[in-house]
Amino acid sequence: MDQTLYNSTLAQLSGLKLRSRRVVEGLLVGEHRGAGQGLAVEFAQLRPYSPGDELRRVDWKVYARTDKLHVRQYEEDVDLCVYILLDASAGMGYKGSASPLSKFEYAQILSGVNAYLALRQNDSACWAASGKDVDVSAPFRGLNQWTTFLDSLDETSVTNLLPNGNASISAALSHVLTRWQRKGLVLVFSDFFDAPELVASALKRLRAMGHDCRVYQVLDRDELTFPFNNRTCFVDLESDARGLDAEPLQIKAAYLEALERHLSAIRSICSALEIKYRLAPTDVSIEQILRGGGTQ
Amino acid sequence: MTLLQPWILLTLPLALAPLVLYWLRRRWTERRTWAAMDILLQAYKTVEPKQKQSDVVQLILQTALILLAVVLVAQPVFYVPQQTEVSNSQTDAPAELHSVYLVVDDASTNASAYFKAGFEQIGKDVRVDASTPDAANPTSVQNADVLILHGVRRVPQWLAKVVENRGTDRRPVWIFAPHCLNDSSRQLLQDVLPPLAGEPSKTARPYETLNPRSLLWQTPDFEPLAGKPVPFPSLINSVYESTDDWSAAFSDSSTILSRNGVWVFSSAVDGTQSAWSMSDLWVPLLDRVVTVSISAPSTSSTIEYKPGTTWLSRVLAIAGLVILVTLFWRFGRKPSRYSQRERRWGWICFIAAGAILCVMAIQATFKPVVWVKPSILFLVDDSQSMNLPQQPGDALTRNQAMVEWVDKNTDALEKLLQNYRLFESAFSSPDAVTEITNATDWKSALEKRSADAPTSDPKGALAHGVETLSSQIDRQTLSAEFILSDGAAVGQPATDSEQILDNQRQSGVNPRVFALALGQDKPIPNAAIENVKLDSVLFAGHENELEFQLRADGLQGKKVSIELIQRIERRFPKPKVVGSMEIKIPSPHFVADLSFKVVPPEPGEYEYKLQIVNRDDEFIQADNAVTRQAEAEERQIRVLLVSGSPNWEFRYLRNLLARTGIVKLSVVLQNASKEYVKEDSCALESFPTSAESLNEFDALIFINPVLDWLSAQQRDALTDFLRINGQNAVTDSGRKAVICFWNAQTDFASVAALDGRWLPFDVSAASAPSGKIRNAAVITPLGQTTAWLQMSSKDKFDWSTLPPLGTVVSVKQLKANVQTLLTTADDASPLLTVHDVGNVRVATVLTDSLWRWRQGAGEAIYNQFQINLVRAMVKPSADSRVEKPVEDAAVPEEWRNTSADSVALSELCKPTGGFAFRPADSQSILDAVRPDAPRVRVVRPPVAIWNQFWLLALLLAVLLFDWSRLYLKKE
Repeated sequence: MDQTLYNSTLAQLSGLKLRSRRVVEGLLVGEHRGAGQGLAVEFAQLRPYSPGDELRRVDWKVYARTDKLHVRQYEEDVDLCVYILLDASAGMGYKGSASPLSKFEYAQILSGVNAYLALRQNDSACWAASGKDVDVSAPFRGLNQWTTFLDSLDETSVTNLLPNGNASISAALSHVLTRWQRKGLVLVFSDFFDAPELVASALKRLRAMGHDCRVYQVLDRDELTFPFNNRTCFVDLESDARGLDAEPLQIKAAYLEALERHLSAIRSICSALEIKYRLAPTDVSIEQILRGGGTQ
Repeated sequence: MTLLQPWILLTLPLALAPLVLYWLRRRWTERRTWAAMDILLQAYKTVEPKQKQSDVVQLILQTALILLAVVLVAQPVFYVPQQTEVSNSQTDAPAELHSVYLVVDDASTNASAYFKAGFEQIGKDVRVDASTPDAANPTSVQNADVLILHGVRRVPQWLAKVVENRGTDRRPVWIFAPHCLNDSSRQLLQDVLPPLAGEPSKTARPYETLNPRSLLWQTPDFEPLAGKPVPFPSLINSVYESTDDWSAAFSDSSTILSRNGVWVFSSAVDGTQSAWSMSDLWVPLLDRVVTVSISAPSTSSTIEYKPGTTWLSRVLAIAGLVILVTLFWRFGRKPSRYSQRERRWGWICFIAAGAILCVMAIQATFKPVVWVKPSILFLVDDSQSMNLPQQPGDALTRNQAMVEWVDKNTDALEKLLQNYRLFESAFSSPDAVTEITNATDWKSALEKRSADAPTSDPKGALAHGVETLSSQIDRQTLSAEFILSDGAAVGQPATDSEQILDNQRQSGVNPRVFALALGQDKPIPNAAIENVKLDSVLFAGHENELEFQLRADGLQGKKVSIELIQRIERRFPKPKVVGSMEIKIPSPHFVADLSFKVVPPEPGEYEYKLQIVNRDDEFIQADNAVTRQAEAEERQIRVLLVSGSPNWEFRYLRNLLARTGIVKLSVVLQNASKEYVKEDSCALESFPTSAESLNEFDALIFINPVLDWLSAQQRDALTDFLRINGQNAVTDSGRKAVICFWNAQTDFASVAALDGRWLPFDVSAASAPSGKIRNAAVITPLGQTTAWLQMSSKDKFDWSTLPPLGTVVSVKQLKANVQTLLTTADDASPLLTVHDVGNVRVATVLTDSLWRWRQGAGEAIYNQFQINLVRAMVKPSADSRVEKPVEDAAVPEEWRNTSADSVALSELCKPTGGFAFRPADSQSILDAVRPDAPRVRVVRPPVAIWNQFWLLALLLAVLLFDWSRLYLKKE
């Protein structure tokens, strides 16, 4: 991926931070609220003194009032683990006539930018790409590893982006969740042209594991508007065996209607699971998507 | 029903166009990879059945639309079994065609020949009788198998009744070019042919409108190319090639109306017209008309002919509209195959196609009637003659008289403008017709207009003006034409007014023509000298002839004095009147051939001026004088007189020629002694021995010479002289004369051996005289017109008063180019003949006894005759005396015939029902044209397009453009 694409985008994203809405588990002290109590400045609670507690944590004012020893506890700030799941199926390779990038390239940039945001605030980031196989990377930490992150992501686009009838974001989710045990922020970039019930099942499991999740549905403008006039033979990107010879203008309305139904279903699933959903057309700028300009 | 028409066969493949386009569309599918395939397939399942159904319906509708349009335009011919009452009654029609009675006008006498030739070519042995309407035989008209009224303008009442009876009996009547009927005759025919008058008859079926095209193409054996079967595409080409003017021949005007055996043909369907008669189409059409209209029951009773605009064509047109509306409806529905941007073009195409189909349907089914204002065309003479006085001595010119007349009729013109469209065209620019919107403005424009066109021709202007006007407005609307002219037509070839009016009628224009006859009604007083003839070389001191023509108009009873003024070119020239005469003019238009004797006193350059003494009452004086120049030479006629013997003829003639000063005489007397040669100063020692020597003489006179006496060299010289000068080529020696006096003893065989051409007869035709030998001379009619034989200057000379001659050679037959001037009184045998052999003028006197005229009558006549003979023979040929026209540019050609030709204008107007009138007449323009005339009902639309193939092509082009845009478009 061309570094200049990132540079122009990153210049516009100064001050933007990646936050999890939920409690996450971290190994290091960080900016995110952890599941336990730690040494942060944010007061959490008082608990009765137990032998072995440090005397400096005893709240003497409470002892004066109650005549019982209590220890002050503060919230724990831990680092965030950002999991990026990238749909690398062949369908993501679609690039419309009016779009500058294919869906996968667009998702790559989105992933890279999010990784940058994470690494910049000393969080860790790792990715998984579901294509022919599901590739899962080791966690990256520190801004100096961002380039390595991008390079590894590029490699998977070369090896993984092939027509594969079995490539499914739902299956990929199920697969990577066995690896991503530690609670963190899961970012899913996909066109979600799977059956909604499969998507729902995978997302439910993700939520059940305590991950915070954001869903980016990456679609081309052609897929949203179906702007074709000529009689066209549509060939499935993920399977050469599937195709359709039709008059676009005659099926346009039915297609748009079916697409809207599908998008509504995905949105409903996300809403029910309290997952942040964002539609990311490939002709909209990355900054606009990240700043919440996309369709939610 | 037969669909075997070239146009149908050619356009039928077009019906496959939607299918082909659809197929191409399917083949040219664009390939596109797609990610959301599940969603797309899910959507397609919902629309798939509808889409297939829509495609099929669309293809069917488009194909049907093309088929209907093709059938509607091509007009196939339909046959239905004979079941109707009318068809059964046709069994009364004569089975065979034996006799045809043709009623024609005098002007259309060629028609019978064309019909005879046409019937011969289709193999019908038909007796064709023809006569004018007045001279027609009622019995023959009643009994003829076919009655043809061809271009008749006037139909007598009894003839109209016959037409009605024949129509009732369903016996064929063919009426050609009915629009050339005059009003009363048209009304008469319309009375007996009710449907023509727009009143549908209760008993008779309405007229069928036939198209000759359909009539021809349904003819099974129509083979224009020498009887060979022709494939249909070639047939079209051959028809085009064989018809001079296809569009005119098959235009909508070339319709045929048919009802109950009465066939009404428009003028274009007429074998007597040049375009048709030259084509191969007339004969097959005639054949088909004969077959259909006069068929025997056995051959045609089973079918009824129903081509052209029938209920079926109406159904087809309406069905086409319905289909188009359906397509509209489908087009407007959503979802559509069209994008929003494309729908704009789609609507344009659909609306265009719909408009075309609507026009076709309306014209084909409802026969729209157009009401328009009738028009009147004023043809204004702007030639120079319009600057002449209206009457001699008037200050008012003809142009001003015309403006005055317009001024007087301003109110009438304004009234006319309420119900008519008025147009004006000038003679000088008949191709430009302007509309008159205001009478006062028109009068002002006429006042400002200068009449300076060099020539004028009312008939030509009439022809051009109507043609130009016809191109601007519907020719059916022209109600009247007014010619404002003096009628003087000079400098133009005579135009046959009948032909002009015929052409107008045949092109559908039949207005009444009126003429305002301007100018004086009497010829303008004028005398002129014309056609002056004078030799360019004159004999000084001798009489020379100056001939001229005097033309005098309007001077009857008056005397005209003519003077001849001679002026010699010298240092101090002094003109001198050398001749004068006074002629009393007997008639209004007088022309006389006159002459003066000119005697140049000395050699030199002379100018002779012939002039009429100017008269105050003469209008044009520029043509009163004509000047000619001539050179007078002191030259004598060189004559060689050769005689066989010193007979009386020789003696008198020799002495006469020797005495007269104009002749330089040389004499050769055969067998003369040497003393005679010494004594006679004119005598030569011998006959010249070379042609060059002979060429030095202007005239050779032979008085019965004995040619055998000449030596071989002399004979050769004479032969060469005759050979060289006997050619038509111009020689340096100029014109020569040979004058021969023969008698009964002449050996013509020896003369012919030299050169037979100089004898005016074949040798065998001459013979010795028999019986009476005393012959009197009689002048022939040709001799009477010969100037040099006018022996008396005052009265006619009586040749019988001359003494009788001696023997005259009897000649039975002269050669073809020989002119006989004198004959004998008894047997009219030639006495004096003249003929030309190349540059030699040969005069033959068939006697040597002319000297006898001296006895009793005196020598004056003899001398005059002989001198005139010599001078006439050596006179230059007529070619060298060119009659030069008057070259005085001061007199425009138009002015030479300045009298108003109101007679010609009347003749032009009369056949159309119009008249000519003068400005002073009380008749106004409203007497000629009714101001409250109703608007003209143009039955046919000005442009009949409903059955034009270009319209079909346009319709198909619009539809196919739209469909191909739909199917073949590419992003």
